Amino acid sequence: MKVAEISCPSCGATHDVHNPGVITVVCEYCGNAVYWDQEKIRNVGQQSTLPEGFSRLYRGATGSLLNKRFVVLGRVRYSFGRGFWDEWFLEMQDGSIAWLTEDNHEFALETRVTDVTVPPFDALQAGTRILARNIPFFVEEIGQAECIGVEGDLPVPMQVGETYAFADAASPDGRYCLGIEYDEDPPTVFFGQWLNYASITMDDEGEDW
Amino acid sequence: MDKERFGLNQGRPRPPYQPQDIHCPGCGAGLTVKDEQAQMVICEYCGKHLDVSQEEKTVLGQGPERKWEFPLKIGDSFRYKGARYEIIARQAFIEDNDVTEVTREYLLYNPRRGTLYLSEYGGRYDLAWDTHVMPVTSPFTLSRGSTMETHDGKKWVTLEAGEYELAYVDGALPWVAKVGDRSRYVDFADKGGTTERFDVQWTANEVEYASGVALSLEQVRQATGKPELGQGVVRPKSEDVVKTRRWYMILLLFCLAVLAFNGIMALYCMMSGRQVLEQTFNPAQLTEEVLSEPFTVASGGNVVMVEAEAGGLDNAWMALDLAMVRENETVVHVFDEDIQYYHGVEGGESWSEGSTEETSYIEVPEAGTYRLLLHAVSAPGETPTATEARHSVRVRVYDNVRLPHFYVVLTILTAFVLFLTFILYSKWKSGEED
Repeated sequence: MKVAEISCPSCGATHDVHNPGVITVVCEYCGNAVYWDQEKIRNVGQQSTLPEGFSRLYRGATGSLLNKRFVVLGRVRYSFGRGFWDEWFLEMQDGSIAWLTEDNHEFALETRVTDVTVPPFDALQAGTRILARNIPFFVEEIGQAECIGVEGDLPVPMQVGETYAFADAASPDGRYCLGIEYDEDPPTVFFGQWLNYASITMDDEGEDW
Repeated sequence: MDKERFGLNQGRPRPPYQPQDIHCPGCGAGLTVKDEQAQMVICEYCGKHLDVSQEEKTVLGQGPERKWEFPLKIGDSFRYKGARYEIIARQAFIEDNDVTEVTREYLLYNPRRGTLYLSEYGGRYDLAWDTHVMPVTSPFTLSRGSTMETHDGKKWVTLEAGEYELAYVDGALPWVAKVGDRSRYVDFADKGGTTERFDVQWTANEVEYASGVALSLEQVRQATGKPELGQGVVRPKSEDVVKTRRWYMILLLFCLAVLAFNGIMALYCMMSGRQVLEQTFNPAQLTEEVLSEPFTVASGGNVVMVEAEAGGLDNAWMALDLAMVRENETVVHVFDEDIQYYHGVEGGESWSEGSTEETSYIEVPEAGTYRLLLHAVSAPGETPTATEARHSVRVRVYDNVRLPHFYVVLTILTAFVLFLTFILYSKWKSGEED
């Protein structure tokens, strides 16, 4: 069911939004990001084009994640100075949304949580212990993230150039991960689990690269 | 114009994989970068190290002149679990500036599955991949043979620990590496003896963990499609650390078991026997000569233990002469016990020497009733001679005891072997036996 119809203010291309969680659309024709807030549509400007073919995922890819069907609607790419990682935005078969974090071909399925309190960014360093949902986590990396590319449909207002401090932590048994974005107060916390290769099945794997 | 709508059953075909083409800012040569994550590329034509993380490629510096030999080339394929990987980078690491001890590491890339690390040292190959599983205790205090547990419940044996120095790099890396970079490492093998591996690396401010497997040369030949790999190369015999450790553990446990058995047997012998006499003699009796109460030896050939305790000896000595006599006063055995006990404080430290007790064992040829004939002299301090006894003695006699000497000797021998094994094990752990 269509929940909104957006016309790109730059090139006029129309875009039907089906998932009510989507509030940002990057026009695939002209590369402009458009997002709307309280019925007001804003043109955010030209976005970088992200290369494809280097990952199992791509915008428009379909497959199964932990035995649930999904389609990839969009992607945000962040730079951490010495490299980058991608956040893939997924629509699941029940209409819910999910984020798949991909860092150097490692995937983690993350959900935003509000019941986890984390230390301030200044108190963190590699190895700092954080207890979340009774699971001990150890900080693996801290740094400054900069959005360097967006594509497709997204559930958040996002544009190239946005920056925030971040911390990534993992549980010592290698099962869970914690992503912290110091973009507001309190910081945004994502609780997730690492996925192995077999947890994701793509309809088109493309192994013959 | 309507934008393409994607749905659960309305996807699109996979876009093609196309490596990036760049130009070396140093020599202008065209280069192909296979991994989108590449941060650093070494120009295969001019050897310059390039930073390719930004749109504008820059030269980081010139690589070392010395080219290192690698049995596998950039671009060689490696098949693992049904997927094809390509070698996109090679690194050579040395330890202690010793260029003959080289670890070669290949970075394997597949755009769908990510990166693997194939390393080779002395003809021994390991394949590894990043993991988030952490050790329960700090791994950097461990030495060869030490055991460790990871938070996923697996147990490991330390293979080796040390510090690498990057001596050479080529290809494309998803990080920036500099020749001379150092990192501490600890390698582990599965305690259960499987081919599973775990390793930890610590660079300036980052600890990284990797899981992996040991590969045989034949497996690497098959994975690379190079049946000639390693032919004509003399490979030093590599030690199986897990097996060696297991043998040491078996030997140590065996020695401990034998030591415990012999110790218990010696103790059992010392505590065996039936007490047939307990009598205290005062100094006057001992000075004169005195016969004990009679006691019975049940069988011929029994060993009798005679314990003499001069509890009052304090920085003094006693020369005790004894004889075992039959009731008809026939002497069957004459023996003596020198009892002396000295103690004091010297240089602030307490010391003691000797004991207030002595024990003798006598094999009695015939059953019957016996007595002990006793005579003693004693004196304090350094007095060399004495004509009378100044201390009393309590004597206990036990019939049918077992001689502990055999087990005592075995206990001492086993303790020595255990000590020797432990020293060898410690040297092996610290690498001194090399």
